[in-house]
Amino acid sequence: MSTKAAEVRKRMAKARSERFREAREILDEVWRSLMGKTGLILIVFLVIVSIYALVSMPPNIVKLWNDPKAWEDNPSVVPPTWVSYFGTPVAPHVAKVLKPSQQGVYSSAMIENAVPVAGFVQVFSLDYRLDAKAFPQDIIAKIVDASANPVGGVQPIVTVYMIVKRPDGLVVMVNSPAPQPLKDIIAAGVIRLDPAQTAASLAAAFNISLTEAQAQPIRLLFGKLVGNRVEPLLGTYKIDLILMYGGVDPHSMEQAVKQGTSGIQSVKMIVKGSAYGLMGTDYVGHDLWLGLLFGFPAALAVGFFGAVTAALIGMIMGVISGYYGGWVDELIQRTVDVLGNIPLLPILVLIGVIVQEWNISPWARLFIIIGVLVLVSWGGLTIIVRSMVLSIKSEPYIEAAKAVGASNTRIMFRHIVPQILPYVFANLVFSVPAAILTEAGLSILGIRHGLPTWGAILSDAEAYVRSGGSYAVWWWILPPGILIGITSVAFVFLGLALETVVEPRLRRR
Amino acid sequence: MAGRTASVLARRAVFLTIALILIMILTAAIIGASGYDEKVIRAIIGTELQAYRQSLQRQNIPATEIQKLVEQRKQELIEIYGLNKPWTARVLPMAFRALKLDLGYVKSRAVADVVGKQLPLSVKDAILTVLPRTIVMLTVAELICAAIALRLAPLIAYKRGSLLDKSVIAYAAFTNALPIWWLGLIAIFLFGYELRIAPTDYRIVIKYINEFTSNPGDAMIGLLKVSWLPVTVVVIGLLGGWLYGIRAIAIRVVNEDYVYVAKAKGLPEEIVVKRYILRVILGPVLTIVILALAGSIGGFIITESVFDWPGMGSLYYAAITSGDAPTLIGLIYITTLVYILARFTLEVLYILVDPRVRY
Repeated sequence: MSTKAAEVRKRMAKARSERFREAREILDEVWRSLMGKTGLILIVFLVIVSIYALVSMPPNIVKLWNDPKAWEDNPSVVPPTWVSYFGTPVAPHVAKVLKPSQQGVYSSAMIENAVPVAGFVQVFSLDYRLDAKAFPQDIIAKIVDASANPVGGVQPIVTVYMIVKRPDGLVVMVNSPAPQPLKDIIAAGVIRLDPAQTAASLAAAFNISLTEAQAQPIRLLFGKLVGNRVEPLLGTYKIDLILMYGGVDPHSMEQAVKQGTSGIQSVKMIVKGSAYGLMGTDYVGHDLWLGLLFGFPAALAVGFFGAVTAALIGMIMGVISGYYGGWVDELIQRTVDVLGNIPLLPILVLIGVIVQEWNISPWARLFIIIGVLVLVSWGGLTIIVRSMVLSIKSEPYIEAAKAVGASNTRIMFRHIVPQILPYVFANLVFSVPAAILTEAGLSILGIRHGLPTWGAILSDAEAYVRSGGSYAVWWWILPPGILIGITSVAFVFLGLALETVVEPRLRRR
Repeated sequence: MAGRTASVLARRAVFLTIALILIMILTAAIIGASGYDEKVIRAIIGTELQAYRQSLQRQNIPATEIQKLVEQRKQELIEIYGLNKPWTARVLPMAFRALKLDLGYVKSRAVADVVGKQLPLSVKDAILTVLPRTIVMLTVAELICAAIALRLAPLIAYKRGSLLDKSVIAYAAFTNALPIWWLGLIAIFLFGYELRIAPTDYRIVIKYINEFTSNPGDAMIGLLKVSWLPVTVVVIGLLGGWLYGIRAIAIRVVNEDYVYVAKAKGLPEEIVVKRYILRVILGPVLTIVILALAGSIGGFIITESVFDWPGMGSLYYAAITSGDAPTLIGLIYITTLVYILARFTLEVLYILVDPRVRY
């Protein structure tokens, strides 16, 4: 190896370390200001949460989110469970997978003094303790493990009874039992409480009119009448799901169930509580914790994609415009002028409305919208970069580079771009929130890309309130807005700190 | 010298006109080439044919005959709506007619609902009816911001680095980060539904504005009642940006020698601010004020939608979602025109207010 090559390499390394040192200096200065520190800490926090979200969330979360069936186990529009620590009574949410607590062949018997049964019978039983003065929302049972094979060549017919035994001893039939083929029950997958039947059972028990009972069957089921009001009845409720198999020989049916060739093996019984999870639920029953978590990587992706592409286009156009001058400069500056006059938001809304009809992936839809935002908004940076390039261009070392025959591209990217990079970076940081806020704003207008971003969650909340829902759904409105705010503030703070560090440096040049 | 100024202004005018035409072509292209307008028209034709078929069935016309009549009607409708022509022959002429201020007629009921009138309704009438509502909310809010910022920002600029200065920057950062429409949502919840001291239905502004000529006293009180919350929210949301922007401009001059001299002479602060600071920075300040006012005319789509305020933003939104091409093109034309006129006015004003500006 010749000493000359080594010398050149050494010098290049030195130049590189020089540039690195400058970046470190800027970072140090930013860290010393309160705003810069706050911004950086917040951004690190956002990135960590995003990584956690990407690792911990189910990979098909987007598809899952858009499938209402996936969320029917959850109560709808309830606050987080931790409201109980602030004194709000909470009816617990209970979901348990149950094996039959009792099964066998009965000739003629009464189960729970309520249902006369005969034949092969299964009972799934759940104890539900209500300690706080609040009402659960609903009861459903989902079939977890079952097979619908014929027994002795015949399809079994099943009658399902759902019965609630209250702490005061009252036994209430809450569905309307009708014999159905086993395969239909398994295909439906869900056994629901029937509000009409519940109301009918309770009207008789409470000696009130049917219409009164129909107004609030679930509350009556878990309550008692105090004057005209319904108050929660505390204690342990026993919820039974009784399956009576008919149409086949009871003993062969018993055999088939024991061998697992036919019949229902296990059931998930759910009493929907009056609070759920860490962040509550929305109208569909979405676990908002998951949606809010998804919002972190989504917001950062939108912000970075928008800001980085806009900064790249803006910088390159500005450098070209300033460096070449002449008609190229004129063309770029006039284009910027036209773009600056476009009414941005209406055009974005229009594009959003058009794109939401297209049959493409939600991410593609989102990035087309942000892409249009980028296409319209790179102009501001271009004007500033151009003016900087104009002054850098006349420096002697650029002349020198030209004289030794450096190509235009080399001069632009090796000698000019590194000098304006700090400013471009400050500008980039500033425009991250713009992209995030635009996405959220378009979502609130009801433009659907299909991703559970913070904006989309907020927009669902707004639509819910608009269509007559209660305005008191704070857990649905506040967290997404606050998260949008925190994310934006982090970048605005960092941008402000960077700007105060970078600007005087530029002036010194 | 004057001749040169005039020719520069003329060139500017020509260019801004070209920009306006380009933006209209671009808009027409987005509406037409994406198939958006075609899809909407097909839906309209579909519902019309459905109604037509039902009316025929009620007259007991044989099925084969109905099929023929419906097909015939379909061809007629395709002709009427111009679906047999490409978008360049359907949407583009609409944009060019708009340039001559021939804006055509509102197509959709949703748009007429925002205006508060029945169809048929000309786009020009729709925009003129809705415009005062946006002015009452947004232009007023921008004016309030401008008044406060012009008063306070120079004083803040004096005290660069002080606690006041820092808190103003922090305030600007926060309001820059929190969307105004979100503040609006929270404000409606808090003051409208919880405390019940603000309205929850803002459409009533239509009534007060309509009554303004016949009964100005009551209408004024009504307007105050309906608009105090949205105006306050918008002012809170925008003021930070205003203060920060004007402070940044003022900082460049507050440390100039002549300002120190003026202060040393013992002139009251008010006069120093007015004569020695504001007058010098009048150019950039005018830019901010005039462009903000011109921009407010176009309405804030999202904020108006959150308040359900029937202004320009809501009109935009209704036009876009219902696929009302004439209204949309009319709106984009008018808002762009106002903005471009404002920019041209600025070019003239620069020359008038600043004797240093000569081309």
